[in-house]
Amino acid sequence: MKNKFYISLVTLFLFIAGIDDSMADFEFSSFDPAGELCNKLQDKAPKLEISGFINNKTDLDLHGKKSDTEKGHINRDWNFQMIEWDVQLESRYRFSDYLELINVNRFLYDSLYDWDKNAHFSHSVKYRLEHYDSFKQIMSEFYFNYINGGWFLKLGKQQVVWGKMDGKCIDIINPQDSRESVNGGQDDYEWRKIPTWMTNATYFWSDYYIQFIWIPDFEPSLSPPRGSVWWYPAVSPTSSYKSYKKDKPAKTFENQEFAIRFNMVKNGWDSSLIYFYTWDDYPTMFNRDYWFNPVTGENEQYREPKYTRLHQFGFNVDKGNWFLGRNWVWRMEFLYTLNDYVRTEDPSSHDGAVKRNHLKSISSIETNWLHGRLTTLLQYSWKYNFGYDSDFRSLGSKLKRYDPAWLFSMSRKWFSNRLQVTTTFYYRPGEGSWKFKDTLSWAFSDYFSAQVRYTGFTGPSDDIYGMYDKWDNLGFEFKYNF
Amino acid sequence: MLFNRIKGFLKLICIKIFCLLIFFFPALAHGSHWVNPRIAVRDPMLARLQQGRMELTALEQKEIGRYGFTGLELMTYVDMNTRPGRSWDKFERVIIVTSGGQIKIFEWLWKEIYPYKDPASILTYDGIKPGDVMKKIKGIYMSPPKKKYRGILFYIYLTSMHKHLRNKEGWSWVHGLGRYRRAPTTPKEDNWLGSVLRYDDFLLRKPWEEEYKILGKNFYNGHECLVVEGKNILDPEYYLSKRVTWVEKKHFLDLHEEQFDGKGRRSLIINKLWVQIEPWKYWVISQWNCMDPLTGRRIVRHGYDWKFDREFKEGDFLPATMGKENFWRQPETHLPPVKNVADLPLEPAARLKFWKKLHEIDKNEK
Repeated sequence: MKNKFYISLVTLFLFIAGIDDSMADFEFSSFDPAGELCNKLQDKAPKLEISGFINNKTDLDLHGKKSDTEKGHINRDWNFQMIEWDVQLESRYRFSDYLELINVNRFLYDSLYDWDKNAHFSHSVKYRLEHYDSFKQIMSEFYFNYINGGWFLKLGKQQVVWGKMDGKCIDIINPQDSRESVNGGQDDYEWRKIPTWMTNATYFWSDYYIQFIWIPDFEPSLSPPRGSVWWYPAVSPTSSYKSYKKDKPAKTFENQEFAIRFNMVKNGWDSSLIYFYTWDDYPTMFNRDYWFNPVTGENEQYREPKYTRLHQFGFNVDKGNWFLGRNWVWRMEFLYTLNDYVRTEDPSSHDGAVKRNHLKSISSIETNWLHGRLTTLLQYSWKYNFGYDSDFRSLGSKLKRYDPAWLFSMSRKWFSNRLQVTTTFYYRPGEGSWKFKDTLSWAFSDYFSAQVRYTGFTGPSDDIYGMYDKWDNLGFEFKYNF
Repeated sequence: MLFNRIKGFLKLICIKIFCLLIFFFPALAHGSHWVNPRIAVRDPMLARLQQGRMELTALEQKEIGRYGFTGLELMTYVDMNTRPGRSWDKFERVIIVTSGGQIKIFEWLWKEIYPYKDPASILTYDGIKPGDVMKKIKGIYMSPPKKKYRGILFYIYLTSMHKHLRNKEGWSWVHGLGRYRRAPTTPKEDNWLGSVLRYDDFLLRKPWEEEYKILGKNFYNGHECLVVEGKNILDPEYYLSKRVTWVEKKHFLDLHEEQFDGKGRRSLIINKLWVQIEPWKYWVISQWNCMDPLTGRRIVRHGYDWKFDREFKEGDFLPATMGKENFWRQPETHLPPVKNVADLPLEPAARLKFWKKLHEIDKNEK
């Protein structure tokens, strides 16, 4: 009854608004209320630029309430997987043509936890995911840009993106908030990346540049918390061990991170060599002692989550070629990681983890068809684990020695680029698992846009896509940029 | 002795006057200035015979006798005016009107450099050869909000009729993602920004890609023009059957253009407003006013606040430099705001009287 009353009220309002003569002159294509406010502020402070967006992302679950996995029962009592409201406010103060101060503030509120009355989540899940409440989360970026001659300096809290792929290979500098696990796509990287405090200096000369990065402040990546919508179904919903408190590395000089990148563009070949002395963004669980629990009468294992040091070496190259009457762009990235810890079930391993190296690579080829209206991208990625053993585990499942994956994406635009349809297939041949993402987006104006999105998963239950077989969802997104 | 002193004094005066002249003649003081392409090219045969052609056609000989130019020559001079051979930057606002009457507005700061010494070098291959970069373009978006700080970078290559060469390479910087990426370049007929204007209308087409016929003389906005019909000779499936251009014959400015699609229907009308920029005297197109008469879709481009002889370095046109997100200067002038279609200039119209007259002449000749 209450809902019907609200619907009638809104309809009445629209009817009255619709017959108002002044509405006849309403020009939606230039309707930008927040932008006009920002312009007024900028008129008063000409060196200040303000921009931002308001975004709502709602993912509707397309399956039933219950899910029995091999590892246990998950009570999927939610109707929605996410009803997230994101607001970004970016301000730039321009001291001169060469010096700027940039501040990006982000506000997040996932109203799933308040609005979906059927959903029951633990306090810890709600606390982690419901909203940004700390200064660290809200003040996302704060840095100075300084340009002088060939030098380009960025000092402060910021994001650095090294990779150019639809996926991560050499994009290793910033950690990431993986609250959505594999549900997120390329468009979510910007929002889900966790900016860190760093000194970022680049020197450009001729066809080259060299970049130095110093990160004094280590920030880990964030996994979906246990009991949340996107907690890994392949992992037991209840702990089979006790965990020590997770400590970040001490803030000493030897614990800081350093990176260097050398790039050159020669005859159309754009290539880079990189090195990153870093910490693994995700902790490794090391087995520790067994303790007798007098209540259960059982021995319980304790595990210690520890961040470990890594050396990462990488290379990337991209080039455009004319072939069959069209331009093909191909890209390759390689990343060799030294000293990465892998969980193992080998009984001879005292702490349940061994140190190994691995090589990861992504290659892609992109072109367009139908007079430029259709763009296609084919991407192949693989990871090779050196010193492999069949006892190696990841997220409770058996790790592969060689782990390949395909991605194929098509995108087409219509109506002066206002309508865009994109379909993307992800396929892991080793497991026979798939992820599908189909997106239809419409730009109402330069400021307002909307999107409808289907994301589906299928495959064996111990695979990263297959474990979310019953997590298919229909997403709706409304965005206002100003 | 006295004579020598007077002579020395006069010499000094002359030098001072010359220095003052340089000071007061800004075009000279600023290092470079516009030169009429007909003079810049020195030998008109360079413009008339391109891509290894050894002799003029009978039609071209007749046109030289009648108008003093060939069609290719005229279009080459127009092309040279669009490439001053000097680095420059400008602000640009682009308004796209969809068939539903909605408007989309893009604004950016845009700069270009030319790695060759003067526009005629393209004809003589002096210091540049087919396959080399003939210009580099870099831009940064000011609006719409979604695209603000987004960067674009293009390398345009000198192509040749005898060898299939790439014509363009492009990169883009996405502000939100914080990364630059090479993008596959779209074909010549692709709609620019989803508008009715195509890449071949302003960026990729070389004059020798079409064969020309001068249709006659016509006055456009008080300027005497030669009307040149061009038909593509490279691609049998080219998206246009012909392109007809009104070329002002004194400074070689294409003031009006009408395009006809594969079915012979008038598919695009373009009015261009050329202005001369002080103190360099270079001619630039300050306004493109285009309309597709079949759908009513329009695009209006306003270039403003042009500056020439900018000291841009090659290193500033590397893809990674887009990450600076730097507006290297602020506009000194501002355009009046556009809220809806009523704020746009009048729709461009076809030169129907000219076509009617031409039709009558053809009829009489037959």
